[in-house]
Amino acid sequence: MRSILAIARYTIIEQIRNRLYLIILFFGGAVLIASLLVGALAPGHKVRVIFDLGLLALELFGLTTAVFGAVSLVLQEIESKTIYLILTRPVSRWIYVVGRFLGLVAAVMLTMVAMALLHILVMISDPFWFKDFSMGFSFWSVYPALVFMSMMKMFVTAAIALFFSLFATSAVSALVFTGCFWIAGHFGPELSFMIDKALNGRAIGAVVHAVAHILPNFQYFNFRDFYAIPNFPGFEFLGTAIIYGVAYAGIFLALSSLLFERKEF
Amino acid sequence: MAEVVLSAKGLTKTYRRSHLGRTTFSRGVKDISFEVNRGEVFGLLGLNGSGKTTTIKLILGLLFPTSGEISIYGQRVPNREAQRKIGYLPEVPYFYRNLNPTEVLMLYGSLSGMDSKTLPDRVQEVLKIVRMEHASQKPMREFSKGMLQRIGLAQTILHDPDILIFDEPVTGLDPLGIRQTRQLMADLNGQGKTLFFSSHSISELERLAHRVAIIIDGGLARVLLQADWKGKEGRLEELFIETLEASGAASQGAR
Repeated sequence: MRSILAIARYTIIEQIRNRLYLIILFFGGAVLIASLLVGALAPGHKVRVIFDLGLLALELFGLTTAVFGAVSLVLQEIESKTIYLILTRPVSRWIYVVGRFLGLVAAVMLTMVAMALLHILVMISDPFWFKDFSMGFSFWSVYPALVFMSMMKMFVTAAIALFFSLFATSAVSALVFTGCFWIAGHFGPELSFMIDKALNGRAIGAVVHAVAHILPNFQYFNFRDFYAIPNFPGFEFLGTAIIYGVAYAGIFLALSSLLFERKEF
Repeated sequence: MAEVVLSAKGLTKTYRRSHLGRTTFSRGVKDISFEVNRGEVFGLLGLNGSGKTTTIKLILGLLFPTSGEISIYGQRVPNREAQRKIGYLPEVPYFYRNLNPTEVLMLYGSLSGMDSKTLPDRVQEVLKIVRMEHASQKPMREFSKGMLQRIGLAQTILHDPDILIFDEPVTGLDPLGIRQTRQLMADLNGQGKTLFFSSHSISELERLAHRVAIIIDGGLARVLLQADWKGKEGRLEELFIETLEASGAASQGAR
């Protein structure tokens, strides 16, 4: 446990001092502040626009931190051979994988929390901000749930990004594969529908369906689709999302550890 | 009888590469056997690409042998207990650019299972040994190659390992760096540590090694004893060239 925490701790420190990370954080903040300008185009719903745009920015910059973080930390560590000095220590390789993952996730969470705080500040800077949220739900109960769901999505994405960073031959391929998984994860039902239409009744349809199930299903974290409707889902939705996210990331980490154990340097 | 701390038996590594459905095999090392005794300085000498680094990587568990085995204190590697007794300095040590030497050494110390109470003092102690205490808080992206090599030495000795493995320890260093590294290696051996190092610098091996294994084309061609070259200037080089010529590798190396 001490080794995992040591790797995680120095992963966070390294990431926070990484110029790329700081640039991402800076741009994230800039986009949130710039959303004030876009909000001005929607009089009467200014804060609501800032709210939606901010959540989108939060997720996109969380994703950028996760993907670039995994590539810059792990893939470059392998390419530069820095990893030799870790793997020749008396630690199992799965410890390295889990430590890196936890450090990476913590850095992503830090980005998202910082951006969420700025996002709230931008919204409440409008003296009548609460009027836009008099739609039958409480901002303070919904907003943390929305941010948490985005974080769960990043938790899964970080595990995928780490997997591809450990085994991809280049930064570009790791970025592309992770990006493809992330996009496909948002279109699970649409993909299933298209597979059914295109391959209905054919044996290959079952195979393609099985392969499609390997992809993440981010519908589990899509609280944004429901929060504004009456009787929006409660703890059961949250519980299912946590179980799915932890299980999916766990499977990817186990797979990463298993393959990494056999990797030669 | 001297205690064997490191042994290789019939060590063979063949690299297998697949590309577009075509699989190719290339030789790493073949059927290498040797034993290293406690307190000994054992050198590996060979041309570039002869298999020195492959042998070291096999000992460290970074590569897995195709056949044969390696034991450290009688325990077959890869083995966590065996790894605890090893300190390793790569040819070009790379570190985390955004961390400083204190942080890097704290990380490696934790991973080596060192006591968290005594670790900070030990970190400062090794930084003093390698004369880097003045830069202990400086990010390593600002370091020169010589400075990185010194931090490399610091992490090698940090956990007080019994066996020290150096891969080309003086390659690329300036004369002062070479002298300090050489002195540190001699001091460590004086403390009873076992040193295993590869080099294509004959003068380094001549000065430090008790035995030298010549590797040619991945095979162990010959093991020389210190008595074979000591007091005879240029003798080790002659023996190396003789061995190369006998194997026909000298002409390949010249190509």
